[in-house]
Amino acid sequence: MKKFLQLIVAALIVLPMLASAHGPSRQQVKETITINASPEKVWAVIKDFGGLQNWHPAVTSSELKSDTTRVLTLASEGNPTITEELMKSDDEKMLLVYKITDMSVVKTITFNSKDTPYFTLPVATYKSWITVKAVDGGSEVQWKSKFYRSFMDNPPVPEGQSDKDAVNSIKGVITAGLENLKVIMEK
Amino acid sequence: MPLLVSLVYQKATFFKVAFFLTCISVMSGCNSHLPPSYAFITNQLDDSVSIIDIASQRVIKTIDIGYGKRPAGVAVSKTGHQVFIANPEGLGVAIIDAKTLEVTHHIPVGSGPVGIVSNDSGSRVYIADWYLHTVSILETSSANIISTINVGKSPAGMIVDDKKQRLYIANRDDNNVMIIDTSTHQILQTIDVGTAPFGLALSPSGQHLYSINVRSSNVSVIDTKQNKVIKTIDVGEWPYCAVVSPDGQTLYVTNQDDSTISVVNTQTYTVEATIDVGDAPEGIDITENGQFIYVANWGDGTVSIIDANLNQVISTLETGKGTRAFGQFISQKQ
Repeated sequence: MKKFLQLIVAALIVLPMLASAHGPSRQQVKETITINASPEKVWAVIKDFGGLQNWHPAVTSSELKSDTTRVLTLASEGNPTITEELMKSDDEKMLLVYKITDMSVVKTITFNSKDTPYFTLPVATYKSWITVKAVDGGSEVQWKSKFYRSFMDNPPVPEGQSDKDAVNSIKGVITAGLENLKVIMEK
Repeated sequence: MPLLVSLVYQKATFFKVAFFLTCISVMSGCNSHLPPSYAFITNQLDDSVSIIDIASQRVIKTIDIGYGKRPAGVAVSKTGHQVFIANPEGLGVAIIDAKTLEVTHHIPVGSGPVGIVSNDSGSRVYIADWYLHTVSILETSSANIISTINVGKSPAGMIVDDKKQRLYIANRDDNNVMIIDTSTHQILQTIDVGTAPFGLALSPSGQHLYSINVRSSNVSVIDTKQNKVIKTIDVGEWPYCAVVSPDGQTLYVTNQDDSTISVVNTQTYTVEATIDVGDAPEGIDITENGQFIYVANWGDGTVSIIDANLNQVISTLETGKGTRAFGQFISQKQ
């Protein structure tokens, strides 16, 4: 009986507290594709930091602001931009690491009486790793990203800004890029 | 010496040496019937704990912690026989008997227990609650929570210094480290560090405390006499945890986003080597003799064993999904 009462008391204390959770947790998306082309050829395309428009269908232009900073313009309505910084380009490991440093605000809504910006992608603290590996039949490209959703407050979360929305949007970006890369490299 | 005699002689010597070595590797076992040294590795996404025998460097058992409990934090004591597992989604702590390697208790505590640490004897265990912003104190003899202290926002890593009667807490969302008096449970001081401190490590002398700051990718070195940051060391991307070698000369830091370990010279405050490990390394601990470093790799569900003399991974063991081992996880170090 004492145990049972302790449980009830614990539940009464704990349940209301769950609402005061700290911010969102980190999400990850990881996709791979096999391409019938040599790893060297595939890596040469991926490592060209100013050339994402050459293989990603959603990117219309990529402007190099410096050797390690690019501003991408996307094909979608309003031509939103994403600014990215190259963190690592390792020829030996065939590994490219970069992060998003800035994005344009697509719209701003009022949510819970607070201004809530919608960015080009609904993510924050976004970091990506692209690696190329030799496999039977050519190359295996792995594209991995880690990020938070952009809406940092506790739930409720405005439409299109949940963890799931963030994951789905990044999954879309990565899959579209990898699939088109395969098409281009196998031409 | 005739061949046969020589062989017999060698064999006898081998057995003597083997016996002697076994005795050394489980020295405590020979003297006081303590269990051998193990690494207790939490596999958060598998709801399990892998137990690695330090002498043979093999996984000897995997314990089921219970469906959906999501074990993350781990704490061993220097002289006790119990291991404590913090289960953020199981809303409690599981206690493992280090001799029988069975779960003996499940103790409900808080709403997001992640960080966990024991004092040297294993009589008191401190449990940080990610959501409630508290640290609860477990009295292990009665298996009761005897006190709960309000601390900073999202407390994560902790370290106990029995000699100084202090508990150090990294408050991740307050960007500071808090010092608690373990006899009065009062907050003694709060020290600002880098951004999002998560893991903590303490030098064996207790003089230097290292705060691993995830978002600023650096380590704050705190002098525990002056209670202030005396140095900041840049390490790899998104660092998480660290451990100090038994001689106090080297700090090993896990860098999640680089999948590396930064080997830091604690005298010069410089990174002397960078070691490649598995994907997304999180928890880290070192064997008593300082020879091997164990690293839990979240991304690929493995443990990398590093030889400290070579600064190289010499073995990689399969553990489970979401291998985390956040805390001090190698038992029987005395």
